[in-house]
Amino acid sequence: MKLLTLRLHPFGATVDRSISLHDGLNVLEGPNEFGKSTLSNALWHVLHTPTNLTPARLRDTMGPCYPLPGGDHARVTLRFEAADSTWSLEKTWGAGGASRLQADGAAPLADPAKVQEKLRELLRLNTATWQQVLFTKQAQLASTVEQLADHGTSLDDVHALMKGAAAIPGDVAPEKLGAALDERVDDHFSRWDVRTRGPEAGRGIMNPWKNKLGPVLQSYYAVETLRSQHDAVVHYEHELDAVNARLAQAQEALTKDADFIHQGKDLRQGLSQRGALEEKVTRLTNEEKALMAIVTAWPGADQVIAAKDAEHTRLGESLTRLDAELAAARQHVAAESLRQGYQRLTSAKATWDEAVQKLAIARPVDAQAIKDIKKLEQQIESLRIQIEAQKLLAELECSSERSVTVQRGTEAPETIVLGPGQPWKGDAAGKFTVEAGDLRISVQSGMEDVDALFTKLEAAKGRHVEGLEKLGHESTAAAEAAAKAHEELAREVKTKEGLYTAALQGRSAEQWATEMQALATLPQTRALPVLEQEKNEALAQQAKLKAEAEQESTKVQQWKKEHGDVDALMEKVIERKGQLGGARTELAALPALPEGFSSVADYLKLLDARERAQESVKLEMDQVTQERTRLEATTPERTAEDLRAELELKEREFQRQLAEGEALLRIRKKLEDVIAARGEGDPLQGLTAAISTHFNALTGGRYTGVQLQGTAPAQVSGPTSLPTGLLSQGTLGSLALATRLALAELYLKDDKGFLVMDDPFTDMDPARRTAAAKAIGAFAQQRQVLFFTCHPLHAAELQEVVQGDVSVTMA
Amino acid sequence: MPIRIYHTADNHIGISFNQYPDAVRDRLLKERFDALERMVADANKRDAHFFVVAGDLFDKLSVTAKDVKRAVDVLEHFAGEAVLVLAGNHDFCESPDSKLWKTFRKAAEGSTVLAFTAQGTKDFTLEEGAVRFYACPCPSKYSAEPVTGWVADEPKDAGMLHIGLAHGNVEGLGLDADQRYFNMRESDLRASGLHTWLLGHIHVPSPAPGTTGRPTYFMPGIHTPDSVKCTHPGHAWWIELGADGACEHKQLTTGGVRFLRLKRDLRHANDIDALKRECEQLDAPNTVLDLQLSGCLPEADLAALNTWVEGLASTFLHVDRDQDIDHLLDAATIARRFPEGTLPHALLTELLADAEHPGDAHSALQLIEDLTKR
Repeated sequence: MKLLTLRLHPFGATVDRSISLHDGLNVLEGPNEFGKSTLSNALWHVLHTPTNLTPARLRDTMGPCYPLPGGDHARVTLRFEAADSTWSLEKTWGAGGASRLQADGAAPLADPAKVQEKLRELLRLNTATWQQVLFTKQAQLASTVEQLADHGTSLDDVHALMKGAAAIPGDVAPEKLGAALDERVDDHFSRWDVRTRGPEAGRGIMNPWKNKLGPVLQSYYAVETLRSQHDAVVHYEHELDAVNARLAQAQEALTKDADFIHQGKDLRQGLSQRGALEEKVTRLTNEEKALMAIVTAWPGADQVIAAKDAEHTRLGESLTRLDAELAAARQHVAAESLRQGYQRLTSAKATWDEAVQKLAIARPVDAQAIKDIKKLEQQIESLRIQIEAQKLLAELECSSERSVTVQRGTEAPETIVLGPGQPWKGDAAGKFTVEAGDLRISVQSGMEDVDALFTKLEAAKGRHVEGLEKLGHESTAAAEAAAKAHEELAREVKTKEGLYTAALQGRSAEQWATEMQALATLPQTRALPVLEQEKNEALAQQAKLKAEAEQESTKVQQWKKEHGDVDALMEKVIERKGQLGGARTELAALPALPEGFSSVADYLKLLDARERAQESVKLEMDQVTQERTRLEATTPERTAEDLRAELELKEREFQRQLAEGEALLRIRKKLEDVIAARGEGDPLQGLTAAISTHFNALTGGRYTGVQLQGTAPAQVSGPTSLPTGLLSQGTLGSLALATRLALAELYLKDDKGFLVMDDPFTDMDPARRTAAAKAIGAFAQQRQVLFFTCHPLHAAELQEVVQGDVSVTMA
Repeated sequence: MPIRIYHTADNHIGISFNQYPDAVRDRLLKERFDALERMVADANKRDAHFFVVAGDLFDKLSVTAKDVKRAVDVLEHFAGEAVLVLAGNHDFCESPDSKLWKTFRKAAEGSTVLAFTAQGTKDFTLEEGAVRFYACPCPSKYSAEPVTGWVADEPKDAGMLHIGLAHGNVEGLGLDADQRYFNMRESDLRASGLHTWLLGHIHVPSPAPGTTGRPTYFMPGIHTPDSVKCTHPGHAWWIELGADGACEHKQLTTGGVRFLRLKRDLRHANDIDALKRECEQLDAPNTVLDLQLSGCLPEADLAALNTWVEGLASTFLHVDRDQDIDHLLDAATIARRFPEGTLPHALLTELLADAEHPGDAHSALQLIEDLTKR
């Protein structure tokens, strides 16, 4: 697009002014308030602002462009060349608002929307590109880098332009798509922590984020808010149930005791009187009974005393007789003892006599003779031992059978038969004699005189026999036994005699006989224990009678003292009966004690307790009723079931948003993979080089290069590498100009187009300004440039650069 | 001759239906009464002795007095011995001062419509024999314990029919994991010594149709559907109980509207045709249709589907749509829109290959299109 003329009629402070524009550099120089910015604005609006805005937008956007005072519209006419035609464009905003676009020789377009659509086609680049690259308003240059960093993705794609003939129509720049995707992901998950799957910083619905909520968090809050409402409703319902249960319980307690308490209120007064009256009746009844007992007893009391005295006397006589019988009975008891002693005496005498007779029959044995015999026996044994000690052994043998007599010591001879091969062996004490026919062989021990020993032995044996014969016993043992038996008998006699003496008990046998004869004269009695018991009973009865008589007497004395006489007592009885009758009549008129109670006091005690309990229950009921009223006043509009149904929908929406977010994350990952797989180098290398070249020239070689992030410079290199944020205003202005020129070259390379710059040199020092003027001049050699300035020096420098008159006259 | 009982429950009169447009909501609210009216008429036609509502006649305590009176008006048309209305957990009776039940009683004064709002028995002597009802109303919305325990200890006169009325969950029949809804055990109900129990609360009927003999309990289910959760057309029980305890019962269909959720995955024009045929079979004027559509369709098919679904609104009582259908993207479509070698072509082709996430390619396409339109 090439601009030919621009007319403002009216626009802002300009009533009607036109300018003609030419190829290359157009410098519009004038002091402040001269109208440069108005021209610049008019050019922008005529190209980019439709006339069919809403009233509000029209007021905001175009209102400042209406002439003052009281202007109600603004109008601009532009002629330009584009798409091989010359076009006339006229727009009126406000009163009489209209758009008109017409190519020479063609039908005009008047529909504002269609006019704008056609203009977009002719302008070729999008509004953002025009705004951020090709149309530099006053003081906007310095913010170029920052604007590009923030909104660079909204520019027309530079990749296709960079690729030139290699570019594929319809392709999208990776960083543009990536940025758009990042923006979508960020928006979608805004304030949402993907890692914890919850709101950022854990800010739930109690402390929610207010701004920049993404769809995920919004749907999450919606779910949680509804869930909270649901929980509150359920809690409310439970609370109401609990309150109602308490009320029902209290009501039950009231109902349960209501009848009892109601009845009790009527009974209380009567029952209180009944208690006292019942007590009075009981007392009067007891008194009457006691008086009547005295009335009954008093007249017979003297007779009772006399009868008891007579009985007492009778018992005394009976006791005298009983004592006599008792004495005789005791004698009988003593006689029995004598009888038994006499019987023991008689028996002892008989056994003593028997022992004496036995002893008399037994023959005594001489003890010395026994001793002698025993001495002989010791001697005989000694001799035998001596002979036995001289032992002889003999062995007999004969070649033919022969009978032989053999005698060993003094033993009887024995006959043995010898035969060939049958030797005989034997032994003998002291002496061995063998006789065979006429042969007699006698062998003696040579140690001692065996014969003498044998002789002594025989002599001793002879005396022994004689001794025994003298004693009349066959053996020493028998003699000893006889002696022992005799001794035993003698001892027995002595024992029996002792027993007899003891049985006499110090008396003589004659005395015993005399006493025994006296016993026959004792009288017969009952048994001693029977008599003793009878006496004890009689004594007890006597004592009892005495006590009773005394007691009766005491009572009579007491009665007399208390009541005087029987007549006076009778009057008292009559008085009591009267009182009792009155009390009973009164009592009959009072209410009865309810069943199940043993006393009025018990009943009233329970009544009091239940009345107190009921009061307490009523108080509680009041409180709970208030609580229920409070709850009912806050009854939720929706039930838990309604909310549950809606909650399901909200949860489904939340899940949908989460799924959509996850899809975006997957797409982003896939995009990174695809870009990596395509293995492209820096697609903006050409742009980087162009900006670097311009920047280098504009800074007089101080900076040699730039690094881009998207289409925006992020870092510059030269003496030092610096982030663009650290550059001075002047250097930043140079970088902005370099960037705009490089991008403009790119965007306008296939089109004449134009570049608008409104006082871009303000922050530049002279050296940078000169360089900038050269750069713009160079750019203007290929394309139309509209340069607005209020600095004559700046205009002069540009004139010098292009070496010609480039000024534009405003008519 | 047996005692004849018409048994319903869970009518939920007063339910809000706020999620629907006014006209639809009015129709659904009216249906609660209409269905009740139809049941009363049917009970009269069958010469029922008793019309039993085993709880939740009303949806909430705050149901309007107008609705209460209207419900009583309907019930008063019952010509049998009595209408027995038990307080359920939604219309529980917290005390004799219950506003809802006072309104109900006042409206039913002098009629045979009886409210059972306190635990107790009620005897009836008919020509066919004597019957005693054991009422176990709910005193609250929630309770971990059933309110039927007392029935087992009650003396049971011989020669009478003994029937329990209760409202709550039955273990094994309904889902009440938290045991919040008066959870009853079938063994306890059986051991209570009654001939049978007429229950309410669970919106699914029991016993299963075709069951013979005398069940321990009857659960009619909701009388006319109230949401897509109700998959049956609305039921009640017709019960004939002989003096000897012999039982004949029949499940009746009582609802006049249906709520139907069709969850379909559409990936081909044939799927759309099948869905259309399915919808054509429905009683559209009386059906609230909830379409949950997902899948992936060519653009033309998707447009046709949308047009058809929008048209359903004029025939169905109401149509809700939750649609998540992607444009069908294939290699040819991608190539047609983005020349090979471009980044969009490469990205979309890669995404298309991810069979697990068929919607990703379409999401990316939308993003690219938004970007290139700027």
